[in-house]
Amino acid sequence: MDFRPSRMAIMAKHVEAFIREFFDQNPLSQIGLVSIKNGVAHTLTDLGGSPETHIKALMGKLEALGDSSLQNALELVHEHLNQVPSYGHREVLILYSALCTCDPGDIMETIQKCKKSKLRCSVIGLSAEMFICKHLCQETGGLYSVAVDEVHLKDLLLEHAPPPPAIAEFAIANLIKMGFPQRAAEGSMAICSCHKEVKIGAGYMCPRCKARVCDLPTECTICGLTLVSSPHLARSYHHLFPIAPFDEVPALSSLNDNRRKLGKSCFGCQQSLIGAGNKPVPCVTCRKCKHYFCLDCDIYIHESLHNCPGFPNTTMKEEDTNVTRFCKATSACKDAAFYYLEGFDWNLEDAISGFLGDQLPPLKIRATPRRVNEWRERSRSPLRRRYSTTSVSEFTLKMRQDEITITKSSDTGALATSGRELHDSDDISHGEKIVSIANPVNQEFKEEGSSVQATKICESTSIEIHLPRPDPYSDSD
Amino acid sequence: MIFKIEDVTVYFPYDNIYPEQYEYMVELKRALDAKGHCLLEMPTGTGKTIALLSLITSYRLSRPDSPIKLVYCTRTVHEMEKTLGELKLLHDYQVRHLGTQAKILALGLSSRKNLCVNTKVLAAENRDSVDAACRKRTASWVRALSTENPNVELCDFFENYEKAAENALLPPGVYTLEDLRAFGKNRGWCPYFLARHMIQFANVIVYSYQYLLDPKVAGFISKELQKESVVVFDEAHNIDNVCIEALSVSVRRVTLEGANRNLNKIRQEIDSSYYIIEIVQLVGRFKATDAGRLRAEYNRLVEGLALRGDLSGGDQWLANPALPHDILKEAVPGNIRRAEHFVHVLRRLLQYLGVRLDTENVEKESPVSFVSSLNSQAGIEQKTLKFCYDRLQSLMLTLEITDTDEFLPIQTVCDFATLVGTYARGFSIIIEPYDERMPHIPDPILQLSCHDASLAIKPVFDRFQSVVITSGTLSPIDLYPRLLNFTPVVSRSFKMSMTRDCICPMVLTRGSDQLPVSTKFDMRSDPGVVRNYGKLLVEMVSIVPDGVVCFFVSYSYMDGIIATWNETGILKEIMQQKLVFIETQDVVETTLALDNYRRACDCGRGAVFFSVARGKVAEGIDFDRHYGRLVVMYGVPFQYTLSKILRARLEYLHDTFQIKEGDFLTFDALRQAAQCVGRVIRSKADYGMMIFADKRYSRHDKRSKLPGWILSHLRDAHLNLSTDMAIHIAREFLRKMAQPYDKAGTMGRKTLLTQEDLEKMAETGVQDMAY
Repeated sequence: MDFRPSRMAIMAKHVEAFIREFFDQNPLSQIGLVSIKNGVAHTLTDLGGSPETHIKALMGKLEALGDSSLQNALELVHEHLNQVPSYGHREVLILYSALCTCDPGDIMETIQKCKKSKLRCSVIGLSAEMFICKHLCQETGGLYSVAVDEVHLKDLLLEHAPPPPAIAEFAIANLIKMGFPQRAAEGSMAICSCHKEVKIGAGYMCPRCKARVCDLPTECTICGLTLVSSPHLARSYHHLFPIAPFDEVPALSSLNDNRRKLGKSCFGCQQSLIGAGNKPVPCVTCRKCKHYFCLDCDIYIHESLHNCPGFPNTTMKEEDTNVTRFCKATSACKDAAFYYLEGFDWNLEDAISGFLGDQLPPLKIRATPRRVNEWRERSRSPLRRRYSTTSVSEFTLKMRQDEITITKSSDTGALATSGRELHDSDDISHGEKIVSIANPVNQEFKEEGSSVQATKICESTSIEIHLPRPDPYSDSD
Repeated sequence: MIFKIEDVTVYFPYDNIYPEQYEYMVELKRALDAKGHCLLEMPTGTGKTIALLSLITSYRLSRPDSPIKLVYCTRTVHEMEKTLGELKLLHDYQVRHLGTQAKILALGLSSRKNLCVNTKVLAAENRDSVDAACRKRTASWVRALSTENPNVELCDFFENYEKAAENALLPPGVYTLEDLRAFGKNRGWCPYFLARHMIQFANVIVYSYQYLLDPKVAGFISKELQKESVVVFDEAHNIDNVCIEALSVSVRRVTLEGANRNLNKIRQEIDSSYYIIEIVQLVGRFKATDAGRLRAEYNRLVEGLALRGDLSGGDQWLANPALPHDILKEAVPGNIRRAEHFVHVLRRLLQYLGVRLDTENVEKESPVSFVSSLNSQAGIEQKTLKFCYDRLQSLMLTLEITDTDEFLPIQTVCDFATLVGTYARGFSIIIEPYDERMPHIPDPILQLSCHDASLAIKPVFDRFQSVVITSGTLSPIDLYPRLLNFTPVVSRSFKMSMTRDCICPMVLTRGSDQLPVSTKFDMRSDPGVVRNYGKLLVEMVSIVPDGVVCFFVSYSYMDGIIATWNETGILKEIMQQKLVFIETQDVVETTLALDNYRRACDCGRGAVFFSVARGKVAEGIDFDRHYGRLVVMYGVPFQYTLSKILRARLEYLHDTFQIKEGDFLTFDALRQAAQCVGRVIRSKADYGMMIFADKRYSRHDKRSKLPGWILSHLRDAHLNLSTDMAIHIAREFLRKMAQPYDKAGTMGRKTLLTQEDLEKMAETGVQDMAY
């Protein structure tokens, strides 16, 4: 056989990695798994946000038998995903090992049905290109690829983890409620609401109903609030503000003054840029901060960090200085600094006094965001729900659900910076402040609030996140 | 795009051009300049047709003083439509760039069955009866009669066409058969006669081979074409067979019986003619009646057949089966000038043929000895024979017979007589009392078979300034000039420039148990071979997606092997993976099977099609894209070597052209095999595997006769494979092909040229192009 020890085992292994990677990249999305066996499609797991549940279900029920029916699978997935609100991405990722499909009816009709309900179907084949799969992907706008070997299979799978390009007609800014749970007190014993097991210490508490959950992000099983931690949210932003690619430094100019002045080492890793024999190592430079980077750092910055480390040092903005000062004065995290500063119109003193006096910033209600359209076009928006499905050995169903309201107005580079900070330092304590992005239209929150305190906090901490301009690098600001 | 090839500005309707298309045009242009014939082989899927059309039309535009006419011959109506479709595109492009001066008249011509718009005529079931039904309404005497008798049915379309007379013209443009029908319906003119009339004015004519090669038809359809025409035979790898068929006749017992009936009818007609004259004389009113016509005919015949053309307007429908220059310009011999004498001669001829058919043994004879024995036993001499066909035609016109389809048998016999009388060389007469394969059923057949393909095509070569013979498989390219007896000024084989290795030919010599596989006569029924062939397919269907096509060497072999597979359960294993469809000799059944095969491929179920080399499917049906990801050629499709006709032809080829028996057989088998496997790839974006499952393919003499574009992909490592190795290669290949690729070609291997590339190339010369 081509994949050893078996296609099933390899597939399961990589799907597991995929699920983890998927939730890492799309912390607010959901996945469901479906498998095809004996010509029938079975639901392994319903749409859900916990990677552990899916992986457990996947590992538990692995077998391949009989014919496979693509049509049945698509019908089932369609049923699942059709319930999902239309502003989310609905995606199906089919891992198909068979070379034919035995269908009860006309599969072309099913494909058209999927196309109509905006299901984006992608297929990863294991042995050869099949016409029907290609047709399916072409019709629904998905990707079709065939794995050559195990490494390739892994790459292909992980390619599907980042969110797909946004479809303009869906890009509607919506407000949804989110809770940022605190880590539960160490040492105390509690029954978690997700597994119904007694656990000591580990877990988080839902800010609304105080139920205990084991993992983030998830949806509270009691009150249905979406629970995330701030890094999850922050991680989603980088798709909106990609760093411009660095310019290559021509080899000839490597010896001229400019380079010497800036030092002969990479700004990122501090490794020397002069290699053996005094020969210059190929390097790149950031357009904005003019620092030099080695190629490894270039890749790291663009693919993982999503922020130029040289940038803030050279062009420190008023807001940034304010943030640092705020942090120094209050020893609070930068999240809180942004939140307070924004709330107090970037007035440092007010913000500090407000924070220290435990006073919440005044709630601002903005009119329709400016330049929303412009932003929309640029975005590969991960900040919206994305539902999708995959299948192992034959099927997985995944759904992404990351949505947040963004009212865009002022031109600060705030978020870009905060994002960097989050990446740089992982010492942000979870849920020091409960920040909830509440839906002002649908304030069911209040009525349902299990405790007065929670209600109060949630209500008062409703904020707006001010996004910077579409291009944070434009020199106008 | 517009570019220059030497002094010709070429208008090409697409933005990019393949390098081989450009080279093809260059070679073609040189052949046209030299006013000579050429032989060009270029793989299918590289846009041969558009390259040809655009060069020749552009050539015409660049030489306004000597307008050349393009006569494009295709094998099937479907290909005709496709060609005209491309021409339409090209024509639009040229008109857009050059204005109205680029306007041309191009039309397709086909039989009445494809062009007729009269619903009553079309109701007839086959081609011959449509022709007859048409004649019944359009013959001059029928129309003359209708002026007296209003009950005689006429065709309105033809009447309108006749009324319009000289004004019945097609405006310039490109007309497919469908367009012609629509135009005819719209104007109320008969499209068939209109098209035939317009041939002399058209710049481009697209029609079937027969209109040029079969002297029976060519005589009146193609005789008005001027010398400055360029004749193109597309898909011409079987052109020698078409030429031979055009001059071969076979007579069976049913033919003789039918001919006898025909004769009786003719006899009656003649008698009644004389009877009428007596009555007329009795009554005392003399009028030019039927008998008078017979007399007039007699006089005409004395003067010679040269006057034939004036006989009765446009009603010539039976042209001489022999080639124009072989027809003597002299009077019909005296012994058949009178109608009743001619009928006697024919009766004697039929009797003689009947006696000959009664033989118990296979007989083979040369035309000379046949004629001499005919002379001694039936008293018919050679000259008489030679005139049979013309005499019959004249007689039938005189007797005003319109049911031509009923008179087919007697026409066949006269056709035979004329050919036997005319040609002494290159033919032989073979009488077989039964079919070799079924010796218990007496089915005597007398065949006059032509061995020399050059006979039929010679007038074409002589008459037209350039003849282009082109196909995807013309290998070995030096054999065709010998077979057709002409000297090409250009003869080239082009390779396909590919962005990736999109074909994967393999030679499978052993089964998975390492036993050799072959369809050699002594091995083919060996259970081991049958099992290995079956296992190969079982393995292949489980790794190849969508469509798989298998070609067998003959119907009987296919039936046998499928039956064995069924017994041993192999067929069942195949059916678990894919649906199985089988070609049969019945056209309707095969069409249905093909249709369902395509549907199974479309919906992802996957299917296998079992077909036969040299069958209809192998010749005309494309298994492109997912309809054919793999084609398995089981065995080498040699002709039935014990066939008497083949033996006679081989002997003739050996004696006349010094072509060795084995060489010709291998050439013929390999071109069929190449034709079969070539079905899977029809464009560059496509990909497919080809398995030659026979150990004989690994031998150099066989393999080297495959076309160059297959050979160039046949790696040495793939020459001697067993089933398990083939499976492994197939799996890798399918994976590789499923990966995305760059269509334009990268890294020096340019496969799509833009205008700039061409200009650059014109400077540096074509030779530098990298494949």
